[in-house]
Amino acid sequence: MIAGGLRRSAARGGGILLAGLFIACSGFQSALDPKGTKAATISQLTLFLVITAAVVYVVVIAGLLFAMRRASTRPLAFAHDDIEEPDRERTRIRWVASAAAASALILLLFMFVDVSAARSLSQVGGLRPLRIDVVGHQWWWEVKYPDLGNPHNTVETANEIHVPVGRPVFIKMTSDDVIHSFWAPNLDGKKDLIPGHETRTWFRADTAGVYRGQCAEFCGHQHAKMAFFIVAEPRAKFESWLTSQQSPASTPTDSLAQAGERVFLSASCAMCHSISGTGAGSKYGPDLTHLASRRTIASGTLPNNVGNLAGWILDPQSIKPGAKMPPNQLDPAALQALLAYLGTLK
Amino acid sequence: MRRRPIVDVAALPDHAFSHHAPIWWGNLLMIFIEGAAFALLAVSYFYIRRNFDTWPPPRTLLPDLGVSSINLLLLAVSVAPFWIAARLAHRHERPGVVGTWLMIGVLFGIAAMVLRGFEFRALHTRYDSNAYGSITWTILGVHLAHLLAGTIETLLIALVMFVGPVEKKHYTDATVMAVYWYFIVISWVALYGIVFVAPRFI
Amino acid sequence: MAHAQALPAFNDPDRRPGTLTIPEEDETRARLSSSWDEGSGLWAWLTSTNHKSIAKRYIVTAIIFFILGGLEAGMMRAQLSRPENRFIGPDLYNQIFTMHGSTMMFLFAVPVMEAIGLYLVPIMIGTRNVAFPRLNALGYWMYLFGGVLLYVAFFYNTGPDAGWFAYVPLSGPQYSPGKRMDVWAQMITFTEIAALIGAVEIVTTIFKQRAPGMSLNRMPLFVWAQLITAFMIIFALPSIVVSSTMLAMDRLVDTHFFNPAEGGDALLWQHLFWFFGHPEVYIIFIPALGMLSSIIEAFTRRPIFGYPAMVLSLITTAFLGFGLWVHHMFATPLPLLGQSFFTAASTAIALPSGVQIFCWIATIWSGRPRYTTSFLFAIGFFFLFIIGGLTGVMVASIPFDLQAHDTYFVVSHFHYVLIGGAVFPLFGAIYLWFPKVTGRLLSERLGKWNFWLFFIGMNVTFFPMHILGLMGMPRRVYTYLPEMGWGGLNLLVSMGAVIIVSSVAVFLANVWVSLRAGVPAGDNPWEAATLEWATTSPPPSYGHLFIPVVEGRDPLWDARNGELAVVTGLRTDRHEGLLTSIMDAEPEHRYEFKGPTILPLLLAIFGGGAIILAIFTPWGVTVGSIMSAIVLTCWFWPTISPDHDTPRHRRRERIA
Ligand code: HEA
Ligand code: HEA
Ligand code: CUA
Ligand SMILES: [Cu+2]
Repeated sequence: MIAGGLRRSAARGGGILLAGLFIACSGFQSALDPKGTKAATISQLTLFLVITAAVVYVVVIAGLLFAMRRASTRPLAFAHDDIEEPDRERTRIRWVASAAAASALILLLFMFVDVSAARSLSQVGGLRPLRIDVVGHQWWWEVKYPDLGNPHNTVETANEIHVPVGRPVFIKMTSDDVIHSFWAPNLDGKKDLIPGHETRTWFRADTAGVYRGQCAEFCGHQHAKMAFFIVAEPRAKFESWLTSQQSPASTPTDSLAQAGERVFLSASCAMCHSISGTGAGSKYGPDLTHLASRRTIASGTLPNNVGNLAGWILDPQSIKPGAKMPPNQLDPAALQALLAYLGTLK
Repeated sequence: MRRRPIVDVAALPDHAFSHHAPIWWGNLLMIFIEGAAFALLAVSYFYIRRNFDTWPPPRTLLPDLGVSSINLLLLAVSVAPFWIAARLAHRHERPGVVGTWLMIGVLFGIAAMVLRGFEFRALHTRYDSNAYGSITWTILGVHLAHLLAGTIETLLIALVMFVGPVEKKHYTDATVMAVYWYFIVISWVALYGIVFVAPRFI
Repeated sequence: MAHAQALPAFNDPDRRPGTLTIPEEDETRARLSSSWDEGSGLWAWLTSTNHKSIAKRYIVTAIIFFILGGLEAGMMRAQLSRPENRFIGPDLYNQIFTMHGSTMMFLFAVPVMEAIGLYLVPIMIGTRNVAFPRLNALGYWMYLFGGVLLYVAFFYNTGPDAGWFAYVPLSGPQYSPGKRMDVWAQMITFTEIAALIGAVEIVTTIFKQRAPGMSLNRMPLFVWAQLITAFMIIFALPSIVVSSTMLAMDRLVDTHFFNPAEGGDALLWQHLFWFFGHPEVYIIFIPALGMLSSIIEAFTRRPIFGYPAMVLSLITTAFLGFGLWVHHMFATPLPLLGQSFFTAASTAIALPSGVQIFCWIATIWSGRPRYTTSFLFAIGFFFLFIIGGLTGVMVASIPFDLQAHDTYFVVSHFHYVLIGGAVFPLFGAIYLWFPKVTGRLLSERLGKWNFWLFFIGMNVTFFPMHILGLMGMPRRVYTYLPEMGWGGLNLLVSMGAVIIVSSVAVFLANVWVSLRAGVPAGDNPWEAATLEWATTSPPPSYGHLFIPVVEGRDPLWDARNGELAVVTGLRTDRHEGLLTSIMDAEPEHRYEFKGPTILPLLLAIFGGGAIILAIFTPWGVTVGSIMSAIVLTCWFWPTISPDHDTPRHRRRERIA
């Protein structure tokens, strides 16, 4: 009866496993919904591993249940006595040895598949890669598109990475404070950002789309809200985005926004943030030169709209407790102006 | 359950030396533990080495070989009194004799610790200057802690030998103490090589 | 060996026929009691050096920490049950998950496994106490103080908050100012001292104190597992000793081990931590394997199939366990070739686990199982551990791990192996040995509830986590956004945790009820084979009335004709034990165990005080060391026992 119960739960387990994989196959931050070459290879590997593991599981558990069933038919006495029968014991030795041998073969297969997949993933495939530098901060991502020919054209942004579809992207990473980990599961596995070390990785997006990623190494209070977006777009669109990002912020024309710029420069904002083309040049917080062009604020935590921005500026601590940005006391007029100014930073 | 006596152990001796004695094993396991810790410190030393272009770091003098080599010699010689004390203890020699040799060992220990003070100076760096200073100071410091513990323990056993009441097991303690001291000396040979000699080659 | 020749080999057939007579049992019993019993009362409790009373508190303390860790898990699950929940903020959540992980690993799993060894090993190998009884007491006090330190700090909002592996630089002076991480580092110091002491005790006791005839190849598998684990502790823990000392020094005296600006290295910490941390999980797992062998042998009523293969598998696991640490670091910049080596090693370690599982299945196949609660937990082990083992082999693959690492997939892996592979065997072991320790059986009816609730709750809690991980949910997040789509599964997980908590509650109730009104157990309620069942339940303070002589692997089954071979001639008027040779367990000499004393507690107070003071000032170490040195002097100073035998000195002999 008990063996039966266990058998039923084994069957149930198998069912849940398959259903689970099915659920996991969609989602905008999911390892099983690959949108890039590397993630695709990994998800195939995952499928192979899951299926093989499931087969091994079923076989071993079947063996156990079989043994329990066989055993329950014996007379209730000291089994100790009849293990002296060498024949039966020899059969058992044969079974155990073959099971071990079969396991060894499967494990060798695992090793081979794992190592060859790892090797193939380490080779950058395709066109000349685009280079991006990422620096981790508590709790946001600094992103740079270095232009080696003309350093003035280097683009600085934060928490949103635009990449061209089909072209490999080569990322150099480090951290400014503690260890973080860069992870956009739809495109690739993760890679750590470590202070004092430079890490490299690459990926290639094969389908246009917006993919969410998130810091995967515990990095303190707001580790949970240290997300970013990767925007994969066709080549032409990407190039025009890059060009627009290369220009400094446009000087505001209407008076409200002009007032807002003055607020920005005179209140504490400029002590941490930079906006190129203005006097604000501090690198402590994210670069805001093209803030209005980004989809989210606070590292992928809130959609970028006026309401959220106002809430964030006034009281970041209730949205991301522990974040390094202090609350700001601004009277309503100043806030209005500031928001208008930030809205011009396309 | 009925009991069937088949061995009478009343005639067995009530103490033993070397690997027959539990304390010998306890000591050996301690040596494994501390040896592993020294080995990890050594590995850390070479790991940190990789973060520097030059070793020792720029503007740091090479560690002096003078006082450190003298100390190495001193420690090497210190093996002798412990070895003699252990031999005598093994033969159940009079406690005063064993104690005297142990006291000579203690003197060596004290001398080594005094020299250790100069060895810190001979490093030409400080524990808080950089990672090089941290690891070299720590290696010397941890070994110093062993010297200190070893010397105090030896002193204690020597005092027991002089004051008594001396039991047979105290002879075992003296032999085990000698084994521990050999460990302290041998580990220093390796650590000396790493801290004082290796920077000249790596 | 000279003295061994003095008496004929102990199993020499010529000596057997009635040349020896057994002393009057009642009289022996009375004499042993009067020299071994420590009496009751607070003073007796504080000064006890009997391995049984110390191990009992060790186990109870560890289980209390298990409950505390479990309550923390409950709070985490409450917070995560829905998106953007405001029950617990990030500051507290980070403390709680760190407390949960540190408690479960350092204060529950490792100590409980060692403590059960410290209780059972001496009785199972037929000796009266562990080799160094006072040191053993010190180990417990250190452990207790470490745990209390951690929880007192936590209640004063100074709980560590950088995760159970405390990666630098997050845990370093710059990013964790305040005392939180100092508390963590010193808690580690306490527990590592305790664990190392336990390991030294277990190795020495097993090497020197086995009953005559219990050669290495007749040792119960549980004892093998404890021995191998103790060796792993001895070689793995120095790594955390070194790394946590470096961390404490970086934080307290401005060294630069982990400071990249001054040539230190954040990855050095990871290597040192995991060189300890990986073996640590096998330090938890291997004793559990030993427990399983005891359970399966007792309830299938046959010796474990393939004893040599089992022993070799344990040894192989222990060796390989030291070559896997980089599999926790696949996302760091290390050369691919090197990483592949660790993939290979991590995959290879599945083989010895598999061999043991196959041997147990063969044992069940040819046995006649009785489905007691204890055995059910062993069966549950197969269902759960194999899932965790297989996901372990999956995350050993570098590409797959780069997706799974630091997500709930890994959380799921390690709860399946830790709970399935260690907590289930532990519960099985409690149901098996509770009657020995307390003299009463646990209720089977409550036991069945305990098992099924745990089994179901475990799967409901941890299976969905695989999926959450692949859906992109990182671990150690105090909350998540509703649009991530993780809400439903997280709610399910939290409901599963409620089922587990109810199961543990049933267990506690069972213990409570059975202690009072449980069925008296008798010496050997399960008709098991190993020596602990030869003595009464609960065992007397001196363990066995006469030290048994072992003539096979299953002494009590071999002795079914009703006669147990024993040793006579040990003194009963003092704490005397018998030492035997390492390989064959031939009697070598007699040995006096140290009796009760307050010194271990004093040393723990002064030494522990030094460790705690060091959090506040480096001088704490100096002061505490001096005090400890004084206590140590008393410790080693000879006590004048009334009948101490002064050695005869050669010189005097010659004069005479
Ligand atoms: C009891 C504890 C325990 C045990 C036994 C194991 C066992 C194993 N573990 Fe696990 N592990 C942990 C506790 C444990 N682990 C913990 C606590 C962590 C996380 C720490 C943290 O980050 O906080 C971790 C993390 C962890 C990682 C890092 C994941 C990451 O952070 O990204 C890896 C990677 O390789 C890994 C691998 C393995 C492997 C290969 C085994 C193998 O030993 C498993 C072998 C067993 C089997 C495979 C099943 C039985 C075998 C058969 C039935 C034979 C047939 C099988 C085949 C043919 C495949 N473990
Ligand atoms: C042996 C080790 C062990 C055990 C048994 C458990 C048990 C449990 N763990 Fe644990 N867990 C770890 C080791 C363990 N864990 C480790 C090492 C980590 C990593 C930490 C880190 O990242 O640093 C972790 C992390 C971890 C996380 C991830 C946290 C995060 O990353 O944010 C979660 C989340 O759900 C979790 C849940 C649980 C649950 C629900 C249980 C349940 O099984 C708990 C069972 C419940 C009880 C034991 C409670 C019983 C209490 C009662 C019945 C009350 C009785 C009442 C009175 C006496 C008054 N654990
Ligand atoms: Cu950054 Cu986690
Ligand atoms: Cu591991």
